[in-house]
Amino acid sequence: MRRQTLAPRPDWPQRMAAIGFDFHTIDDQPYWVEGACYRFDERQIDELEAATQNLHAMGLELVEQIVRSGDYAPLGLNRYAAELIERSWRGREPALYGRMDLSYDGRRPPKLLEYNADTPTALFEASVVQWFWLQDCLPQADQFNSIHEKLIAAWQRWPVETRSPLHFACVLDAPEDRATCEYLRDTCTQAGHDTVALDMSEIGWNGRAYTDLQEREIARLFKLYPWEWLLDEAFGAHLHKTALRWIEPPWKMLLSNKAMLPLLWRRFPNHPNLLPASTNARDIDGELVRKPRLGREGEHTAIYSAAGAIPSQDGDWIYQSCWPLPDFDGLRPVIGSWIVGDEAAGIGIREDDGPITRNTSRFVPHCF
Amino acid sequence: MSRKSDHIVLALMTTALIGTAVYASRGNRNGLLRNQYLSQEECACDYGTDRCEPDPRTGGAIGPWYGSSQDARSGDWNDPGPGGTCNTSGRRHYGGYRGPIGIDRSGSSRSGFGSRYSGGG
Repeated sequence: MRRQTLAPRPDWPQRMAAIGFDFHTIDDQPYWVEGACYRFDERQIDELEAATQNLHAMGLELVEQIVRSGDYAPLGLNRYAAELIERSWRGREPALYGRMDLSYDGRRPPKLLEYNADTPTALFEASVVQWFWLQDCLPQADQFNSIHEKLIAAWQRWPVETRSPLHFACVLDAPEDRATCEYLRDTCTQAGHDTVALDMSEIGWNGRAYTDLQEREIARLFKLYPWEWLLDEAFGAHLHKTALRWIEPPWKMLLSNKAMLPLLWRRFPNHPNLLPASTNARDIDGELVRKPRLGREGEHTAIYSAAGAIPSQDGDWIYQSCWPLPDFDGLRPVIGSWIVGDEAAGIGIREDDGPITRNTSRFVPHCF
Repeated sequence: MSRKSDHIVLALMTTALIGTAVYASRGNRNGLLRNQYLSQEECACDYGTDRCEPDPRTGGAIGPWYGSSQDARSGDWNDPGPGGTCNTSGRRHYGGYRGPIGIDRSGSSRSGFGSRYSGGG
């Protein structure tokens, strides 16, 4: 695994615009890195794929264990959330996608940092933008990326309903969310479904069902909006009253909760793709990372030299042994490894100047 | 064996579609209305059987939602219109037709989700 500098395509902004990628620069800062890529060898790609597949299987096993035991307390979930989770899990409601963030240096096994199983973004960049970059810049090279065709195949497993479109809702004012939602809607349309896009705030409630702007009752809804927020908002009180099929389904609440990290470690101790994790900082030797149970894009994540250096342990924190991201001349990549359906589907890489990947990190294409 | 997609075709994603302009066509933000009828037959006369449903509040039938103004309706090819034309359109003539007896303005309440800015990560 190495970081390679390349000459930017002279017309790269136009090339981006042609495929609808309109947030390659955010607040005058580059989000897309045009002049570099990460290059792997085939063994490394095999290792990433296998780790992702194994971690996914372990995650599903953990969900089954939690639902069987009914012990939701470690995840901070109440009975109401648990009912939704159990109904969706026992009803075998399918998941569409998820992104595991892995720390990987090409030499040691990939380590799971967290699993964004509910509302992952950076999907369009990983699936489409870096694929077109490869076609333009390194057409002879390969890329671990069959996300697009796997998404279409996943949508094809949902029955096509002629009388009831598949609805997509997100916060349309957020460009990255809008692109993710619209890209998924694109793949869904290609799979033969009739689709409708909504802003989250436009979802209605008519007393018995959630509705769209034409007062059609929503039967299936892809939402790019975290489950914990849905439960917390005014219409959350109606969640248990409908038979609506959610994408992602409620059981994904378990996998997207960082409390799954200590639960995984307890169930699969010393697994090579896991890091020691606990709700008690003193269980972790040496340098450790403190993360909120629910949080995104590095929010409120901090690194401490030792448990004793943490000012206060009050709050819903998860502690994980620190496994620093590899350092390529001061640039630190995290591997976002995609699951589509139940298959490892490809990777996207974001890099940062600091040790924690945040919403200001940059996307870098890859090849092998 | 290659690990990358053979080809990628985008059906919806273009510069114009990513922009907010496209979402103007996703529905009517203004209030929607629907007609109430004394019988299923009268409703069906205006809209057809498959677009009418029993109205438990009146014991009659209720038609599909339509835009509350001509402007709203003209922007949506799928809008069924305000009805009331059974006897004059002649499409589905019904001798007992008395026309709508009321208008239901009780559309869904909204904004119960989406109070926060961004959901993905």
